[in-house]
Amino acid sequence: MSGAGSVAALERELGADALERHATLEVDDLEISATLRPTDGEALSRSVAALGRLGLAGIVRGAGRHLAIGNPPERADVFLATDRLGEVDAFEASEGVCHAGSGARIADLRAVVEAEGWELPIDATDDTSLGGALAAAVLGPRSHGFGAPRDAVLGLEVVLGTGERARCGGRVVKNVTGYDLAKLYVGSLGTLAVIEGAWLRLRPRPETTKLLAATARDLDQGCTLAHRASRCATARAVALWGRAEGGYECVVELAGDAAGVAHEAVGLPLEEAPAERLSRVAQVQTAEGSDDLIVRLAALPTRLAGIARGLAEAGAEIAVHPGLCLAYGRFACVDAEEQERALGASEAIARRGEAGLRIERASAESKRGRDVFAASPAEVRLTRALKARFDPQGSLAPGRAAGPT
Amino acid sequence: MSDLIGALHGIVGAERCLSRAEELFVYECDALTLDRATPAAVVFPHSAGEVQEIVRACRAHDSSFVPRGAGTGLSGGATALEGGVVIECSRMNRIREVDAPNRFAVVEPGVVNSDLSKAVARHGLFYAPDPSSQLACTIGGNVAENSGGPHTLKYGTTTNHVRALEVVLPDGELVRLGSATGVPAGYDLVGAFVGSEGTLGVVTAAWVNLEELPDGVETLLAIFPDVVSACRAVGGIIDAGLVPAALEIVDRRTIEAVEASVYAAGLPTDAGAVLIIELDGLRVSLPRQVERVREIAAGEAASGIEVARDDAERQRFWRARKGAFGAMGRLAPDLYVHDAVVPRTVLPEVLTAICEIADRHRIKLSNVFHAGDGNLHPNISFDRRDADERRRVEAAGAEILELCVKVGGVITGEHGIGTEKRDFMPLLFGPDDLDAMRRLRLAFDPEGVCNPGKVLPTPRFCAEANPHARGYDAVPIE
Repeated sequence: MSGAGSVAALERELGADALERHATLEVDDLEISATLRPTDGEALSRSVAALGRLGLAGIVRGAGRHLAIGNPPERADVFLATDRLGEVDAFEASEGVCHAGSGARIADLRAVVEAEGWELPIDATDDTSLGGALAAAVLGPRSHGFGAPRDAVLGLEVVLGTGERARCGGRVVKNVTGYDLAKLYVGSLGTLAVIEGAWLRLRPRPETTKLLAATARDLDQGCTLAHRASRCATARAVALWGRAEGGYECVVELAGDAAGVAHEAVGLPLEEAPAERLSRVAQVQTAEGSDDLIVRLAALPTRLAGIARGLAEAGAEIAVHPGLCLAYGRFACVDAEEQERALGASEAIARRGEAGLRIERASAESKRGRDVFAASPAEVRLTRALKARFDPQGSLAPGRAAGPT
Repeated sequence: MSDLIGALHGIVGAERCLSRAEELFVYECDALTLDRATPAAVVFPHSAGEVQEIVRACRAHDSSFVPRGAGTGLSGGATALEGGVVIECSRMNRIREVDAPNRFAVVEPGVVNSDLSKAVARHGLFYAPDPSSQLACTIGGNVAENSGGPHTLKYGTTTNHVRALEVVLPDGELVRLGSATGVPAGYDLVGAFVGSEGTLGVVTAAWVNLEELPDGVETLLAIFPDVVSACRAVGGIIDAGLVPAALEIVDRRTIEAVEASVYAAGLPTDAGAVLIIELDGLRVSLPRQVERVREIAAGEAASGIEVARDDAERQRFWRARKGAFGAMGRLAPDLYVHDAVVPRTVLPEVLTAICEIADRHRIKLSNVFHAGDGNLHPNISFDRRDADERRRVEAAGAEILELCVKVGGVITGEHGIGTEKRDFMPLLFGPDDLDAMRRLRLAFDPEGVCNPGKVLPTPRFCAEANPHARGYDAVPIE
């Protein structure tokens, strides 16, 4: 069963209120024109179970910011939206922890915790949903200081591909009670389970922050400067961005106590700059609303300069984060041939620099026949084994996590 | 069984395979002496290839196997419950690579935790996780248990420091999970593996983070009339927005034991508790932080606050903390080092309640704990040859766990579940929660041959114990 008939069956099973029909949206060439929008965990569980019973598949959708990541799903009949699971329902300021539903907007979460002297250590754009940021394991420039989203998660409530609701972790800041399933769910793109809510660990808001920037003489000098800045104890974000024809800029955000920030700022050959400069860096890796090809290469810091050079020579706009071991390349590609050429160049750069290539955004045509995560055969095998255990019916975007071997 | 022993001899030679009863005696348990089982054999591989062959031999002879490091684990994780083969990794102890510019090292599982920091100190680097047993425990064991230590408060536990793993899976395949960058591309298989207590495979190498030695360190020792005042000071320090590297409380009974032992550090034996506060970071930032900590401690009735003047004095403060478990040997032949975590703000009430539990069960209790992250270590000194005392120890231990869960805490912060707390899992997790964990385990080990009987309770027990466990809901202490 697939297409309109399948959606009608879902509607009969869950009731008309559970399903919203809308104009067709595409994810990797799959056309989807209906969305399940459960209002609580029980409804989410019923929705996922119904997909399994009817042999259907859904793509989990928060704010829709990271749908481009992953291999093309084999099939998808509906979106499974988490936007109605959006409450920030617990904030224990004295403990520095909070709990929110996966549909909570990052901006709303930030506002709640910052009012009490804490900061949310997840660097995602304001309108990203918490669930989306976790499912996609979003990294931004500030992840240098924050750590990855997995580090902020204390516990999760999820709905498995079978429809069962399950919890893992807890709400305390140190915990080894049982398997660390949160690590597995975070970054799994909603292919093992749908995140319903999360307990998060917060960080004290820094006393002061300072954004610094400088135009680099050339790419190598910029990389050297960024590498040096990334060693600062108060560095919260360090990036080099730009493109061959427009030049490169090194952007550094220091955060901490006033004495420490002032001390380290003096030692860097950078000038104070407006905070918006950091947003510009993040745009290089933002896939939404664009047809550009975006690749992410994970490499050791000492190899990043060579990788950045390769990407720039291939025509990409780049953003290099030495503290995160990451370089992003953004190629403005208008047709399939250009995209294929840029992907081929990126793959060659990754091989030369012993880097891990991940395709962040590409056309479905370009993604097919590749594993966008470039995982090893053993990792693909384990990924499939996990998928088979957590989502045996293939209800959650089958094929998105493990590509062809 | 003799066929299996013969096969193991063929892989590692007779000299690296123990199978006589008197040889196996010392491998009946790890540092949790309450649970014991005799393994079929203990083998000492020197390489990942030998581990592969051992695992395949076990499979061929229908034997389970149990990875083991230094045997310092406190939850029974290295005990061969089903009489399987113990794969003792302590002789795989090479540091394969130190990449100082990229801040990581590749180590074999038998590398002793503190040896790694010593080896990289000349590069101005260190390995951050520092369990109290760091002079003996191994990185492989730390990976299995996701070990913490006093400096977890700022630096995180082992999971925050492992970038990639080389692992022999339960089917004998040697695989690499993750990469030297530590950035997962797809599923975070490394994150799922760390803390899996040796049930998903045998670690044969780990790519671990190395941190830069801090620019400056200040260590303070504050003396309090009681544990509750010390806990309040901890709350004050966190509320002030400070992130110390460590916040450790040692109670009166522990101080008395330490001061009577070779670890004596000159602590006042009439103090109710001492709090060790370690601040590290940029030297320019530290004086103000030290001053703030002094003010907070004084405001909570600290009768004295010392700041270590040099490294020797700093080591003296830490000797009292790190030597505490050894010093407990003076109190009784056995020590049950308990481990649980509660929300930091309820520490004073929980500690008071734990003392009441101890008094009611007539057990010798002392407390040394990571106060900054609410990680309690109620230590119970006892003699396991005394059956009645042993029953009381176990009953008190169970009550302490129930109390911690009741206030919104968890049953282990760094020691793991192993055999010790396996049947307490339903206090915190319902059947579906445990079933999800089982799915992970089955994906790696569908036949259940790798360290069976650990972490997960039997389905019957968990359904009977608590089908509706919702451990997050904190309930005030009555």
